[in-house]
Amino acid sequence: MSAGRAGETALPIEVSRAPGPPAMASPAPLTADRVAELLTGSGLVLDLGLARVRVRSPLAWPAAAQIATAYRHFGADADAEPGNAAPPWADLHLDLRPGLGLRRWVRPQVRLLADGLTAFEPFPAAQVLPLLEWGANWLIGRRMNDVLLLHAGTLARDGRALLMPALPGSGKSTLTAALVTRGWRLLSDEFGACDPASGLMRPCVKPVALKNASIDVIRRFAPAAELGPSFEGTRKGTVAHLAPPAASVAARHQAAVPALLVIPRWQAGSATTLEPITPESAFTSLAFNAFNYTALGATGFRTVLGLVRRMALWRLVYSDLEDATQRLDALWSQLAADAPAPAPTPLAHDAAVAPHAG
Amino acid sequence: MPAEVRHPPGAQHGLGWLAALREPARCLTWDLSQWEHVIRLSRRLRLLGRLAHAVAQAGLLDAVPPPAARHLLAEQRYATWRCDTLLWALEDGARALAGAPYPVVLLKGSAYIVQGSAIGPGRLPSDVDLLVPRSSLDDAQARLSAAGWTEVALDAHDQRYYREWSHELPPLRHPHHGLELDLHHNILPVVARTRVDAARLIEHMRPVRGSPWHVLQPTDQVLHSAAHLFYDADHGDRVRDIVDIDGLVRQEAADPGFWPALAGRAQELGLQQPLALALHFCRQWLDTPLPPAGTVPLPRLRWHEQHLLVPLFGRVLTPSTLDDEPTLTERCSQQLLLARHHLWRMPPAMLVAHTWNKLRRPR
Amino acid sequence: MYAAASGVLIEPLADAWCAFSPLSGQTHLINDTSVAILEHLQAAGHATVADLCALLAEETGQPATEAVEMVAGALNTFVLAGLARCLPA
Repeated sequence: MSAGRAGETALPIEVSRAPGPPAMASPAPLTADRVAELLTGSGLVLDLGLARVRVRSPLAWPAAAQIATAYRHFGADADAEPGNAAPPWADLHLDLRPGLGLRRWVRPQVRLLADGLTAFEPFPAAQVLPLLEWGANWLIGRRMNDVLLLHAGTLARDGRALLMPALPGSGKSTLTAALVTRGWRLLSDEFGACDPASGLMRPCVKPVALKNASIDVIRRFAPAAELGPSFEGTRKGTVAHLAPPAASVAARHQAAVPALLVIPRWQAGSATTLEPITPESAFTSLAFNAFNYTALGATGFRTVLGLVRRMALWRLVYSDLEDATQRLDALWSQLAADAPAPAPTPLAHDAAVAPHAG
Repeated sequence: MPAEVRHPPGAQHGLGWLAALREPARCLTWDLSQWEHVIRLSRRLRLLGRLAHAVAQAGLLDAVPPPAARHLLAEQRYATWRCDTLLWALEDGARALAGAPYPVVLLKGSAYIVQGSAIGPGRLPSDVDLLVPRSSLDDAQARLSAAGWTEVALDAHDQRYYREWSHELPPLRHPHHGLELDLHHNILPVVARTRVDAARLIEHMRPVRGSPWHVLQPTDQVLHSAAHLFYDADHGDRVRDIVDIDGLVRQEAADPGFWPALAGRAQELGLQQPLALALHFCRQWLDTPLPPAGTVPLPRLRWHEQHLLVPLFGRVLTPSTLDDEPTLTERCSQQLLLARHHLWRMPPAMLVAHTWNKLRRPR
Repeated sequence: MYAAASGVLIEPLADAWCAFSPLSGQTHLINDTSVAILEHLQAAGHATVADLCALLAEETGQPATEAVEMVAGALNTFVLAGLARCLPA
């Protein structure tokens, strides 16, 4: 397990599934062939940090290629101890299956099932990755009520987290992707997962979904970005996925102290404006824009209150991505200089997974 | 293949873990693989919240492996919220119906929760079910409507279907909490082959202390649950109803008059078949303690029920696998039971009209 | 006659307060006046509209009669939000 950078808040170290030398700092990338083998076999288990997702499919293609591209740095998850037949723990169990009846062949579809049930309309068979990503997000948002799930892009530097609530028109995913390409650690582009017991932000590392114009924006912003193929004609238009960087994947079990809240809003032609906001605005932007705030009742209330009291509270209006990221960097540096380094605080409970017996 | 918990009833149907709902200490023997299986299956069967409650109530959450414990905690929170939302919706309902000169009876999950029944905690109620005398239906709906409960949009045919043929009005919804409210005037469709006199149910209703509501008497709650299950259209994943019935009868176990009353009531209301089926599965899967054979005239399964209905229901009430599509046998079983339901529910002429209308409707 | 709903959480932010009702599951941002009313209900157990108007008159210096409509309206909102309860007469 690679050591976190100085100041990173470390959770109890994930127990390696295989006895022997610890995992390499940069595991071999996930290959499509390996994914295909696992999809059609015991399942590909992707450890996102917050949750472990098992994916299986009777048809390996095109799923294997799409998944391998988006999850290329999850190579360690595909390692299996030879002879160890017991499948590792998973929190979510997803099946990608061909369309029913004629729709297996005619204008073929792909379906997503969880525990044998489908809750989603089928997608065209070529859009496996969008269906998987969207379905997994939906299920995580519904099920993982042990943490408060805000709808926010969440990044980290030096053990501290930046939260960007995903209000409509925010350009949250574009900003998140941009910051990731500039070296910020990706916790999630969808979930601000806050552990109520500790108040810390937990990673849920998945590909960043970019839509329509944002795809080209990020290609220009960061030509070396690991962007997967574009899927046209999805429910949300054209979608492409930015693969989480290796360092973000390696740190998926390291929580971060929430430090800065920035409510972004993209507005064509606007100058970059970064200004403080009231705790009331911040509270509203978090509580009324979460997946499970209401379901968590008093726990949700107290957790959001804690976040609002703990973080610096700002809003950002921008049209130029480069300028916005630079201003955010500058704000961050200024706040970091003013604040002491966070003390490492382990979480009370982590999904540290022990290998199956037998 | 994860090892099943040995020897508890229902083990060969993959339901051995159900015993943990009543004896949570059994879960201490489960390894992580078993926990994973149980969490998945119980979630699908909508029993995870009840398992979580049982484990938490027994003070055993800390003994559960953390990867599993978080799911129990998460579902416990979710179920608590769903139940709290129901209670709040019932407050709204109570305000709307305050002063109504007729009885209003809570049915099913609403009743169990308000009563503080042992099968209340951990449920995932999605709607409120109320029973009123048929003559009071319009008044009840008017009161609810005045308080903001509005009808879900339906076409004219469906409206008439509900009002004339069914046992309930089209569902009502409230903008504040989105819960559906189903106003019933009977527990089974009025044109179905089995007719229950709702007045008899209301005649024996019981008040819930400290609340403005009434509930059915215990025998009627058992019979309603059984009838609602075995005369319904969709039986997939409905083993939770068997769990309910088991819980209800165990709750009444101390009352020596309960079993004879249940037998008599089933006869009186014409619900022998669903009761016989329910008790069969209760004993088979949950080891429900029944009175010794011959002591109480409980309805027995007739030949065709034992050899046709039991195997069909057995294949459908719980999924055989979570990792594959239903088998051909399962799908055929469900289709047969669906056909049985339709034949039971509507006279043939009405069934044709209803089906024709559904086919004609633009998609 | 009104009473506070049990379990209500009221916490200060900068210029407003946030209130949570475990009964309704709702969260609301409320102002100082609302907090004064709710805290009085919690402290006193129960109160009438008149009691609360008198209380506010003391605190704000405004005549009690002017506050009646506002207080009645606020209490109605609180009941719907699960922050207060209306006791039977």
